[in-house]
Amino acid sequence: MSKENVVLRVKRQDGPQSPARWEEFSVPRHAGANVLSVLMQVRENPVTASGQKTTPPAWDAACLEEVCGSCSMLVNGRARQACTALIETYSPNGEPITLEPFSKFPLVRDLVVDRSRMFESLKKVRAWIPIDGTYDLGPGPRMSQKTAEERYVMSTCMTCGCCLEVCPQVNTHSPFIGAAAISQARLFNAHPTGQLNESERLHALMEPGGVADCGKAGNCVQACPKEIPLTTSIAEMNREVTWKAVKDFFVRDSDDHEKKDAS
Amino acid sequence: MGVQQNQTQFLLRRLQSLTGIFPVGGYLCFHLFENLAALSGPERFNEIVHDIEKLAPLPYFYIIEWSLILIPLLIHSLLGMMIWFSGQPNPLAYPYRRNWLYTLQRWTGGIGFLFILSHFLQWRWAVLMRGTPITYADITRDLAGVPMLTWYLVGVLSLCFHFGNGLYGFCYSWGITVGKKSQRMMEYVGWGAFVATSIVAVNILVSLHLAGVAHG
Repeated sequence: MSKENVVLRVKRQDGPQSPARWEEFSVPRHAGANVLSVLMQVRENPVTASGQKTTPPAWDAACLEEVCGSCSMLVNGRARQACTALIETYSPNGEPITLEPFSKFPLVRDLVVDRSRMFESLKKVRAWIPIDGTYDLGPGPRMSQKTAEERYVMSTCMTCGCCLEVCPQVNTHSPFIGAAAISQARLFNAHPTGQLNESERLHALMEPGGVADCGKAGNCVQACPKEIPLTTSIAEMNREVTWKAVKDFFVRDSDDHEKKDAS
Repeated sequence: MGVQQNQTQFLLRRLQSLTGIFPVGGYLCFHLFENLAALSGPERFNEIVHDIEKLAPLPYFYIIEWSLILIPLLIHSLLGMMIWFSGQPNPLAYPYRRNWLYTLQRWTGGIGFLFILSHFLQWRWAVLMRGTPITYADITRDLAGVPMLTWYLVGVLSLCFHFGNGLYGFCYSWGITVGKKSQRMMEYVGWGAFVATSIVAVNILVSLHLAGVAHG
């Protein structure tokens, strides 16, 4: 191990069906470097540590400041954003750093995965507020400062997928939508106008793969780079769907308006 | 939206969670409580076993046994196994406390199920076939051997853990404990329940084992 260089061990895969292989890169170390800046150095001169020419590893990135959620990958086996993975933290004495793509999403190439299932989940729980009309609907109801503060942290979710990657209940033989979408359902139900569609969101969470599939492992809240209280969101949605089920059963036809909407 | 609702899985998961506390968890506590009689010696133990068998006249005894104990237990276990196999435990990659508890909850459930099955076949079923009630002497003789005592300790302590940790899980799954503070409190309550039931269980088992050894 030398402190002059940064050693990256990258899991490479040319395409979804191609075999996986490991490649090691060694590039000069700079102060303040992070995993993405080192990947950029590798891209400038894609030669492995043993001197073989190769293709530059592919990865996703956009904002470089942990707000876009696109540089999700496994750094030393743990799900996180690569942009904030500092070389100084991971390799204080020149230890090699391993990079792998997320394992719970379809692989595109190298470190790039397809996270569109998260977008599908957001559509399932209607993670938006329908305010568009054919005429001006006027200002919405006021929101208390307290609600705004509670909602703020949930609104920072960047759909990075860390909570799904670490979740034992999210895997190929389970339809669980994961913590992110559940927390977004809570975010939009907590909005005075979004609350008008509360019923649809709760019903979506009662479908197969909904909130009841949570296994209470709590990894999501540990892995979330935005420190969103995901286990609180899940427990709160658990409470809401419990009440919803009780109301649906005892108060007959409570959802006639939903049925009319759909027909 | 909302027209074709498939809530079967949601309801089954809630049923699995509910049966774990009522009646299965409740019965675990009752069973430990009644077996405390073992600490009072052979006469008192045989008396209590007899009294419980005569608690309700015959058809009712079976109806209560099946509807309040065996069927809920089967529902809880079979649905629990489906939940177990729908997951992909990863405590080595992410060794957080609650992630270990997630994995342990599944393994203790599995071990507990096998233990209950063997326990039921050994005593309840054998008694039904034989027609005479279990006596203190039967049980002490059985538990005198160290392998059998070990199996009982493993099985019963698994169930005590599963019960304690399950209390936390129940309150989370039904949305009773939503905030971090209440979730942490419930975890302490769960550990407390685990320790309390474990002390009782170990006390009973060791006393039966020692009595068995003494009688050779």
